[in-house]
Formats: sequence, structure tokens, C-alpha cells
Amino acid sequence: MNPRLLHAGAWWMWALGLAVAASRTTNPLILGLIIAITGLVVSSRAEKAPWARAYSSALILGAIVLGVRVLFGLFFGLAVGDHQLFALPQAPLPSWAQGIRIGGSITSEQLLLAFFDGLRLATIIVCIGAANALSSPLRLLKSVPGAIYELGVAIVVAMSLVPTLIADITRVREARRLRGRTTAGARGFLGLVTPVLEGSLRRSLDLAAAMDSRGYGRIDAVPLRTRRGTQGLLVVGLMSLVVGMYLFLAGTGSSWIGPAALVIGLIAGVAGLITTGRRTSRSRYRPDPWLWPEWSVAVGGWSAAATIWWQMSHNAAALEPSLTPLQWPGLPVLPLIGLAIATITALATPPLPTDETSSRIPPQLISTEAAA
Amino acid sequence: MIHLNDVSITYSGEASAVLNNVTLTIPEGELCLVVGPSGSGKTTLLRLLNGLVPHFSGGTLTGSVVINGRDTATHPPRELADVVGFVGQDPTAGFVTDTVEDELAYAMESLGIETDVMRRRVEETLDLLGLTALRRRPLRSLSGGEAQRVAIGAALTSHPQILVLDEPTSALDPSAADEVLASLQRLVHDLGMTVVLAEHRLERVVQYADRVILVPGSGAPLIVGEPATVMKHSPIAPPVVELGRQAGWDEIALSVRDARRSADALRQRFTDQPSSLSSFTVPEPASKQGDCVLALEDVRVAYGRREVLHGLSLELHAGEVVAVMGRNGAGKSTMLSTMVGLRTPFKGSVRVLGVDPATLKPQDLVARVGLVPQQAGDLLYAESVNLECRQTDRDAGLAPGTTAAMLTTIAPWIKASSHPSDLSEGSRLALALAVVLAPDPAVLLLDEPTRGLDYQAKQHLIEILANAAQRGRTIVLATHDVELAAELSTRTVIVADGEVVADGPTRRIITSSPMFAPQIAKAMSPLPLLTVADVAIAMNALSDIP
Repeated sequence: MNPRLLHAGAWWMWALGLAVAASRTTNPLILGLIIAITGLVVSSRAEKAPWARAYSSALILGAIVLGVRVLFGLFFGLAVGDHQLFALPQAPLPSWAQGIRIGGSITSEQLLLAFFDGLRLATIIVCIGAANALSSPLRLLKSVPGAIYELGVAIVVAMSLVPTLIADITRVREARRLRGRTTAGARGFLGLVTPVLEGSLRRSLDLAAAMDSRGYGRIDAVPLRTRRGTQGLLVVGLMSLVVGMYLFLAGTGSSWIGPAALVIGLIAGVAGLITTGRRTSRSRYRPDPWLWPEWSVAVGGWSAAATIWWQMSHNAAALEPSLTPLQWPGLPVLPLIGLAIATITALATPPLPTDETSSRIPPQLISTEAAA
Repeated sequence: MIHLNDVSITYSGEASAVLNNVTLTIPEGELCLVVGPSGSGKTTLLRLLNGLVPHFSGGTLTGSVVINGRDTATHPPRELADVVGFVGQDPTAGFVTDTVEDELAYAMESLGIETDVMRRRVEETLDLLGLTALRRRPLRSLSGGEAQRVAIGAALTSHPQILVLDEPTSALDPSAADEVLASLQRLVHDLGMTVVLAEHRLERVVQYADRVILVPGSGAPLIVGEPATVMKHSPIAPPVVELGRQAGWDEIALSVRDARRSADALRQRFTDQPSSLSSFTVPEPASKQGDCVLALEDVRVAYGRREVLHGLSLELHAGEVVAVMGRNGAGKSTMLSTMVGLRTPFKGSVRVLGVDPATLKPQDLVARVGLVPQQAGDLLYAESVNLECRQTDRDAGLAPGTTAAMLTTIAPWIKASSHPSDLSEGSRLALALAVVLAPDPAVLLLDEPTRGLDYQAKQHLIEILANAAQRGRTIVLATHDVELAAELSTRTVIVADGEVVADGPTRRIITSSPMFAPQIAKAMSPLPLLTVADVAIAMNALSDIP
């Protein structure tokens, strides 16, 4: 296979599929497997670019979330089970605060409950981190449909302003020191605000002028009726998407309403986007292709979610390890197959372009300071 | 192609018009140079051409501006985007995307050009401007010259018939400027494009222009004509033109080549009478040197893992004016910020009057060493000039009124009540200079001080700095402006890739380098004359010889 970068959307679909799978289980074996899979895929398919650090940041964030969740579970959790590990001094609370407990005896069930729950959250965070590392969110925005293109550009511009804002703050701080003013403390910080804001406002005006000079926002006239129609389609689509997503993720409600609402939402939304997209006569330079590797990756990620879902409706117990009695969690076969498919499809993608073929960023420029 | 018919433009809140009753026609395939003092309305004239004035600036426009049959009164900039390509003063401020290739395609995407056409044009533009090696680079990592060429390329891909550029070479080192100008010439000659550009550094551009538009400012009528005709009486002129006036040539030379031919006789006369050049013998180094005020010793500075200065050593003495030159990204700015303690070297030492500047309290720092950064406006943040001066007195612990008095000697025309960001580029620099000079630092560092300055403002800056040097202050200029270096500096340091590659008296260093030699030095080579003033002195000496 020729080395190339996969469509950003494919990686996001893949990672979201895994995240959805993780959200439906507290089985530490499955969660651990999901984290391991994302780690493996990120290490072999993430570009050597600044955003690839998103994965390690997500790992750290996940660890923090897990730690906080466990601490909370220990101090405020309900006493479950009878395998006491140790006892903390319990804070006496008035009678109206019954049901709340601070401190007291700590059981292994309580600890595990908090740990499993925290691990689920951490896994979801790691999945999103993997999506960020595998493809820059900016590249994803490049493929947004024409209808919300202008919103996409606004986000891209806003995101590229963050590094310039940081550079601005450094520059103004330095200038203050050059004038013999202190830069520390609250007063020092307040003194930065006006010049930095002034600078970014001026830059925004410059950018707006430049974008306008280059044809941003040329719009073809559309009749009012078409416009109303597309707006209606978009609203209906979004609403049924939200409802369907909720039902699907919460796992409540009867089994067909959720998927049905999702499907209706998707159809209405896509139709709305297509008709609105006709309004602007833009074209796209070198659009990222969506070929079979993209399909297989996206399907692979969601096959993990689908198998977990299937498992949930048939033998949900395997997804939530039993605490009473305390048991070593089992590893259900079906989700394992789903995860295997997700792994294989992700690793079967075309390899990353190397420096000789065409890297997006030469290695010496990876450090953000290079821009300074 | 471009028709301005009786155009006047008045910005809201201004009493008088910036441009008054301008009638102008620019035909197809011309390279048209707009010159004039800063603040005279050059930028306004350029921005009229694609409708940014008045659609973005506000103000009242009378008369009509018709570009390729479209009136800008009814067509906002985006509807002229297929006819006019516009590159603003700061190219990086106009970048929308994040990589070179996407930036080139951006305008075409907005115009809805088909995918395969886009692909072809991007490739053509990459070749035309020599950007092929940069195609996948993030825009933030580009050097000044590269960014300028990408900005031009981004304006070109939509195949406009007109290209408008505001000061395309002012931020560039001499060779990068040559590259940009060479590409522009190819566009005019090969593609028949109409190019309108404003530029302060006439010495770089004027020989390429087909026509010059002089904007005298304050609403006075424009002067339009052949470069040689306009330059003959222009208040702003490049050194070779000044040389022609000094020597009294009938025909004004616009390029170094023409000047060399015309100066043949003059050079011969100087060579015949070597005594006329006696005042230009290069003094031996160490002949008259003051105390060492600033010393860098084997300084190594890095950003992240990238080392920018590789063991740089330098000693500066009282009363010296040192020009630091080198290409964009050679480490000049880093060197200056290290001298003032904003960057700490990970190896080596910096001593200003015997002390490491990084350890000084801000208040003590300003009394020893002052830096005017590349954007002088960064130093200013008060609401008015007056407050700015008082703030400086307070910060540096000076007697009230010191800074205001300094400003009066430097730039008496600046009104105390005006807002710093409303000042012209030159006035803002003067104010920043007053702020830095008020605590009377022993060392004054200036980063690229002449960017955006016209010849008069530059001349004024030279006087101020020469004066400070006379009082025994040390001045360091990091600059691309070889004319400034030639006029002002006594010593030149050339930096390349974070190392000093040449260091010595200006007269010797810049005459020996074709890249950094000023126009007069090139025209008069091999004689050691650098500026028009030098030539005048030598001519006087010549006439004194019986």
C-alpha cells in the first residue's frame, strides 16, 4: 500500500466507536484492552506532529480522573460488601444528613467499584486523546460539509489564534521588562491584558480584511422557500440525532426507538447539509479521499461498539464484573472479537508517509518554539 | 484596467481628505510603484483598488474606482477577489490556513474553481515562486522571505489580472528581497500582470518600475510619470538618484549599473587625486576604543532543542555604533534579547557594565541597557503620549518631566494628547526611543528600526542616534538596511547561523561584501565611499585641490 495519511474522519469514527464500547462496560479487562489497543495504534499510526502529544496528555488526564474518582469513592462512597480493608475515622454527621458518609470503613468492594467506574471514564478520555493524536482536529474540520464550512473556518482561525496569543503575551511581558516594570503578580498580569487584547483585535481585523480580499463569504442567492426548508430539515435532523444518541448511549428505552431516531436524524441532517451546501459555490483543494481503508477503519471501530451492544442485550452480566460476591471478571468472547477487528483494521491501514516520501512537518520544526 | 475618476476619500473623524480628486489610469501589464512619505496615503490608495477602502475602513468615498469594469462602490472585496490579488503589509497577518499548499489553494476554494484546475495552478505557482520545497511546511515555521513569497503565491493562484502589494520587501534581507522582486518581474513580463506596489526602500525597487506614482501626502495631487522623470524632483529618492543630483548628472541613474556608467569620470578623477579620499582611510581597530561596556563570551542560546546562537563572543565599547547584519533568521534578534537579559544563555556569559542583565531588577536594567524591539509599539501601552512619558518617569525613577523633555528634543511634533497607536510608524518609533533613552542607558539596542520608515524619518533617526553615540553611548542596530548601516555605524558585525562571520570597521566589511554593500559603495567601488555624504566630502576635497 502506498504510504498516505488516512482521512481524519476515519480515525475519529474508529476512536469514537471504541469510546462508545468503553462507555457500556466496567469490565477492567475490556477497558484495559481498549487502552492497550489505542496505545498500539497511536504508536504506529500517529504523525510526528505537535498534536500527537494529545495521546500522552490524555493518558495523564485519564490517570488523574481515575485517581480522583477512587479518592472520592473511598471518602464519600457507600459501604458495599463486607471485605473490610481498613477503617478511616468517620466524621459524625447530624441526623438529617443520613445516607451521606464521610470516612468510615473501607471495603475492597467499594474500592473496586470506584476503580472500575473511574477506569471507564479514563478509557473514554484516552480514546478521544487517541483520535486527536491520530489526526489533527484541524484536518477533520477541513472535511466539514459546505453548509457549515464557514463555522469550520471560524474554528480553525480561533484555534490558530491560541499559539499567537501565547506569543503575544510573551512579547508584551518582555516589553514591560524592557521598560523597567515588574511582570510578576496580579498587577503585572492585568497590565498585559490591554495590549494583548488590542493586538489580537487588530490582527483579527487584518485577517478579516485578508479573507474578504480572497473571496471568503461569496454567496449565491437562494430563494426563501428553499432556505426555510433546509433550516427545518437541519433542526429536525439535529433533534432526532440528540434523542437517538441519548437513548443509544444511556441504554434505556425500548430497543428500536434509539437506532430509529438516529437513522432519521442522520438522513434529515445529511439532506439539510447537502441542500444548504449548494448555497455556497466553493470547491475543495485535494480533498482527503475516503477509500476502503477508511471504511474498514470506521467499521472496525464501530464493530467493537456493536459487539458490546450485542453482549449487553444478551448477557449484560459479563460486562459488569460482580462485586457481591467478589469475583475475578471474565472476558466475554464476542466483545473480544469486536476489539480484535478494531485492532486489525486499524493496523491494516496504509503506513504513514516517511520523511522521504512526504512528511507534513520536517522533524526539526516540531518544537513549537521554532516559530518564535 | 484600473480607472480612478476624481476620487477623494475622507476617513470618519478626519477633517481633511487623505486623497483628493485623484484621477488615474493604470494600463494592463505595468509594474507601478507607489512612493511617498509615511502616512501620506499610499496604503489607502492601494486598498482602494480592491474595495477594502471604503468597505473595511469606513470613510466617505467620492468619485469612482472602476477595476476591470467593476465599480468598487457596489462590489465588496470578495467580489473583486477574482480580479485583484492583494498582499498586505504583514503577510503572516493574512494567513488563513496552516500549511503552504492549503494557503495557496484558499482563494481558489472560495471562488469555487474546479479541483483539477486548482491542483494544476498550485503546482504552477509553487514552481513560479520557487516554493516547491516548502509545500508541506506549516506557515508558522516560515522565514520572513518565505512567508512573503507564499503570500504572493496565495494571491496569484486565483489568476487575478492585478496584483497589489503593500511594502513587500520591507521586512526582508537584501537577498530575500531580490528573490521577491525577481518573481514579481517574471509575473509582469511573462504573464502580463499589472502589479501595483508601495515601497519605502526605493533603492530596491525603482529600477524595475515602469511608472512611479508619488503620493506627496496631506491631500496634495499625485505626481505620476516615468521613474526617471518623477525621481528627478522627488523629495524621496534612493541613494543612486541622490548621487546623480550631487554629481550634477543630466540623466538620473536609477540602478547601480546606470550609476556606475555615469560615475566613470567621477571615479577616475578621485583615483587621479588620491588625497581627496584621505578622510576615508579605514582606522586600525583598537586605535581609539572606549571602555568595554558589553561583553558576550561564548554565548549559546537555544529555543527548545534548537540552538540559535552557537558560542557567540563579542565585545562592545563606549561610543561605538555597531550594525549587526545577516539574513532573516540568522539569530540577530536573539542576540539582542540575550544582551538585554530576555534570553538566558545555557552556556557562556553576558556582562553589561560587569553585571549579568538577567539578574538585574527591571528598574536597574533600563538604566544600563535599553532595547527597542522590532515592533516598537510593543513598548507602548498607555492611553496617551503624555501618560506614557509620566509612566516612564515613574518606572525608571526619573525626575518628573525627563521623558517628556527627551521626546521634545527627539520629536517635537508629537502631540502629548494623542493615542500612541494613532501615531505614524516614525512617530511611534520616536516615542519608543524617547521612552528607552530617558533613563539614559549606556547601551542602546535597536531591532530593525527602519522598517516602515520613510527617508526623512530615517534621516531623523540617524541624527538622534549619532547624537547619542557622541555622548559616549553604545548603539547596536540589528538591520537589513544596508544604507542605514553605511550612514550610521562605525563597526559592522555579520552574523550567520548564530555565529559571527565578520567583524570590523563598517567601511571595510560592507565594501568587501556584494550582498551588504550599499548602492553608493557599489557604484563607486573600489573607492571606499559609502554614502552620498562621503561623495560630497570627497568632491569638496577635490575642488580644494589646485
